[in-house]
This record gives sequence, C-alpha cells and structure tokens, in this order.
Amino acid sequence: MASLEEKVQRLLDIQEIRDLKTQYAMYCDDQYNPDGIASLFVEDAIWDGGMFGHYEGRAAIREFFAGASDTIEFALHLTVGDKIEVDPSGTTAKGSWYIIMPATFKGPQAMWCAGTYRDEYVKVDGKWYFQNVNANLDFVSPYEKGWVAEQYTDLE
Amino acid sequence: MSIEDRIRTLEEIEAVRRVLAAVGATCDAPYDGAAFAGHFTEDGVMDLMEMGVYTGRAAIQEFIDGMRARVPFTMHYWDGYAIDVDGAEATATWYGFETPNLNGTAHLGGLTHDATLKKIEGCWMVTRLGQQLHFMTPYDKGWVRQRVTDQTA
Repeated sequence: MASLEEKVQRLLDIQEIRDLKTQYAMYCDDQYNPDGIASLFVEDAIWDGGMFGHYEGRAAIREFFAGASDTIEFALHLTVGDKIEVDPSGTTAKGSWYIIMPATFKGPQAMWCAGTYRDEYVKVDGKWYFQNVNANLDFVSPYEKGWVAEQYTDLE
Repeated sequence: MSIEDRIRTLEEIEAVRRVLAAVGATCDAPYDGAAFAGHFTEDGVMDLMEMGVYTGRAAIQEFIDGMRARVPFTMHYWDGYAIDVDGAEATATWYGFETPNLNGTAHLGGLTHDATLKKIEGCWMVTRLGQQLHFMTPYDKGWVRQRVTDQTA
C-alpha cells in the first residue's frame, strides 16, 4: 500500500512526464532545437523515428536533430492522448501518445504527418528524461494528395 | 473532503484517463473488437446516434470488428478530457479527431464524446459511451461542401 506521499509523488511524476513531452514538442517546433532536444534525453537514450532513422546516444540524437530542419522547414507537433504508467519504483515509466503534425518539407511542400509514440522514461536526480522514444508513423503525406492517395512520401 | 479523499480522486481521474486512452487505441485500425468491448460492462451501451445504439459486449464487439472491412485505416485523436469522479462512478467528456480512409478517400472527422464509468473490482469499466458527430468529411472537400459521409454504408 503506497503512502500518501508516494501517491502524491506518482501524480506529480505523471504531470512532469506530460511536461517533458510538451517541452520536446516545443523544441521540435523551434526548428528542432538540437541542444534543447538533447537535454531531454539520458546519455544512452535511443530515438527511433522509422523512416526518419534510428539514433543511439544523446550525441547521435543531437546530431540528427541539428540537421532535421534541412528537410523539415516548419512543423507543429500536436501531441495528445497520453497514456502514462509510472512503475511502482517511481524511477521508470512508459507512455504512449498520438501526434498529428502539419509541416513544410523542403520544396517547399505542405505535409501532414501522423503517428503514435511509444516512450520510456527514467528519473535521474529527481528529474524525468527520455530513455527511449519510438515514433511509429502512420502517414507522411503531401497536403494536396492526402494519406490515402499517398500514405508515405519519398523523402529523397 | 479529507486530503486522502482528494488525492484518491486525483488518482481515479488519472485511472479513468488511462482507460479511455486504451479504449481509443483499440478502435484504431485494424480494430480490436474484443479488446474494445472488454472495457465495457457486460450490459454496457455504445450510443453512436446516427450510426446506431449497441447494447452489451457482444453487440459492441461485432460492430467494432465490422468496421475493419468498411474502414481500412483510421486514427482516434482523443483529448481535452473533463472527468468527474464520485466514489465508484465517473463521467467524462472529451474531443475526438479522426483520419479515416472511407470509400478509398482520406477523410477528417470531428467529434465529441461522453461516457459514464463504474469501478468494479478495482477496474474502471465503461457503462455507456456516447458520440456526437460534428463532421466526417472528405479531406479534399471540407466540412462545408460535404459535412458527413456515411461510415456504415
């Protein structure tokens, strides 16, 4: 049976993880601010974005995002529908989210990107960080065509 | 209300959110009717207004599984929850945004939802799920030119 303090801490943990994801989305909207994004991940974190690549380690994640604006000039990361489960230890957690993202790809080309996230979080020195981010993309489609006519656009 | 009761209410609100998130995920393509219906009480009701009223787990599961053939792809963006918990009963309202493939055409859906839930043996179960469809429009037309496409045809 968790104590009152532990119960309050778990509620705070859920809210802090929501804040972590919101901060991630805001850094992504900020021209994929590489230092900001990297600061949200632990040293040995993994970011897997499917067609956008797989990166292991904070340095590799930072390097990827430093070049992301070469492909995606503008994006709004609308991240909703969280389902967050904090481990009874209070030091790890899992979360799932939906994302729908209006974006401008190099061209310029208006795009719709949509998918789900499966995240893992870890608490270090009282602060939550991403351990793993797994973005499963359901469509990356030109605005004019929509996601049925062209589910995934060619990034080349 | 004591501090213990207030904290318990916050915990239950979070628990209801997690259940509703799970319900939404199971009606994304490719649809899991059994998992979806499993969140309802045995006599639970799903009221989809113009799309019908389904009573009982078996009827709810059959409807959701039947969507697989008619709607090969969709995602349910559910958020904006307002949840009230009163002991072992809860009510919730929220917004939904959907991206289905209907009749081979990309669609956008705008909806609101409401639900009542009951806590049974430690688990929150849906006793009634409602849906109000505001638009379900072909993506290339928009909700003024064609507000609703029939999803059951």
